Amino acid sequence: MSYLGRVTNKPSDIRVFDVTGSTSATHTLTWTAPNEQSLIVTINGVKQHEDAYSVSGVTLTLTSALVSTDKLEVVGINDIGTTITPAQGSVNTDQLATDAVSTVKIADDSVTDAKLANSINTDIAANTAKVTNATHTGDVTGATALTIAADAVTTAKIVDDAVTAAKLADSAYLANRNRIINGNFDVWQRGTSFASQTAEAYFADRWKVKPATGCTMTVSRQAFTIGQTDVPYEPTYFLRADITTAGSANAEIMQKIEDVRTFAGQTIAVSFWAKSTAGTQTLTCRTIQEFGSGGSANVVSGGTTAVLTSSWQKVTFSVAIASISGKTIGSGSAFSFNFYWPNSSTSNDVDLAQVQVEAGSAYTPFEYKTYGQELEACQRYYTRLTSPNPANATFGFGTAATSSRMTTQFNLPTTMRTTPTTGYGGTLSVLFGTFRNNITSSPDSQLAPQGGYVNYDVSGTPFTAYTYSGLIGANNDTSTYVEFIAEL
Amino acid sequence: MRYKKTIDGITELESTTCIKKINDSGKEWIVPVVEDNTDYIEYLEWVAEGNTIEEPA
Repeated sequence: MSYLGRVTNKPSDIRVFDVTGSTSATHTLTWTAPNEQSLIVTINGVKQHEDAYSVSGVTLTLTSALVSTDKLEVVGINDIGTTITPAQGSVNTDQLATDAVSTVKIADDSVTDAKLANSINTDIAANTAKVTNATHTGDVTGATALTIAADAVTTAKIVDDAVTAAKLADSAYLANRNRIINGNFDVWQRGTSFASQTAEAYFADRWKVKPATGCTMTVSRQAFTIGQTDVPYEPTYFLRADITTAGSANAEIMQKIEDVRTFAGQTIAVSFWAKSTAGTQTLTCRTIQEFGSGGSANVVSGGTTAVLTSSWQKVTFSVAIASISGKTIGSGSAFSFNFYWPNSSTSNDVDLAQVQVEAGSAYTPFEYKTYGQELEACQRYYTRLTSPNPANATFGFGTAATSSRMTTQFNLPTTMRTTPTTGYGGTLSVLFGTFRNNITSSPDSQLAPQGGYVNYDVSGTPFTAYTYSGLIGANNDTSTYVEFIAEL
Repeated sequence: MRYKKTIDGITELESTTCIKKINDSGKEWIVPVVEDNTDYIEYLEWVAEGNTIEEPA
């Protein structure tokens, strides 16, 4: 029969069936013939019309029986229209058309690296296999081989606001990194030049000078030339420590940081700018863990020395600070950071700027603070009320305690570290009504860290009743001050 | 450096809350009797060295 449309080509084979000496009309073929058209039947070489025979299965029936001398030959096509399944392992590459194997014909996870070209494996190993591919949108995982090169992730590759605080190293605090107060030498409440220093004394706020025995030093505030580029961030001032009389030991400049727990068991990064006023000068830094009154003995660390020249240079180094495990902490404990240098020479003095001491082994840029921030930090340890202009400014309000004593209230601008010592200088006076009497002494005080009262005795006996009140302040003297001290 | 007891400016009795510190130049400070005041700690060390505070004037 004929087919409509395309049919599947299927393999067949040709069969031959010969008969001689038969006188029968019926013969059994060696295959199943589907129909008469699949057979070519000849008798004595003469092809028979299909009307001359019929076939059913393997039985061929002639319309007339053969005579014994006839030779019957039947040629047929075996199993037309049936599917022939290739034997296992019999399909070769030649039987497959080019590009004939599609992805769906490959089992999942069945392509091994051995089936990939060596060049592809090489590219994968080098992480260059996808350099021309589209942006990778998934996670970069990979057990061991798939990595990101060092310093390869740029800022543009990080989503805005995506970096959380937890991803920052402990040493990467961006604020309050510098534990040195007034490291920029901006605040000088006590004055700006201190000549002939022979004993420990504060000068710039929080900074203390300690000349050795026999040594005399002058420490002073110096101004940077505006626009200078030697020291960055346009600092206003630097410190100059000038040895005027040589001594027998080392000269020291130090700052005590509150609480010996500071930096305990950590590494600190120290950075500062320094130069010698002339020639070269060695400058050594050390730290002292001071455990306070009644506490353990001091522990000294460091001893790093820099060689200064007459040009500004940034000095950086790190120091491991000892643990305080097992120590006893007493009152007034501190972590002291000290500069020292031989004071045998009076010619090579030291200039210092932008001193920073921070946690971690790597130093960061100098942490700038506003003058107000730095002053407030300094006032925790020292507060001076002054009257630079006008020269009659007042500092506190008082009421008469006796005919010659004024009990004066002071509200301090910052809560101090502890109950402060108090003193005064210059021409301090009491202003009451249209009168002004100078202070002659201060017998006592009742202060707390945030303020309190100080008794002042005045000249004469101007207060005839307890109802007298007055204002304590300068009497036309710009050098007048009242100070409150809670230093370490 | 020397130290002197003070008279309470209100009660006019000897003060138990502060003392007076006087340097070699005669400058005076009122030091509170507070254990973590550094000036008071220095006073205690001065006493421990065998020195004696002056009586109030």
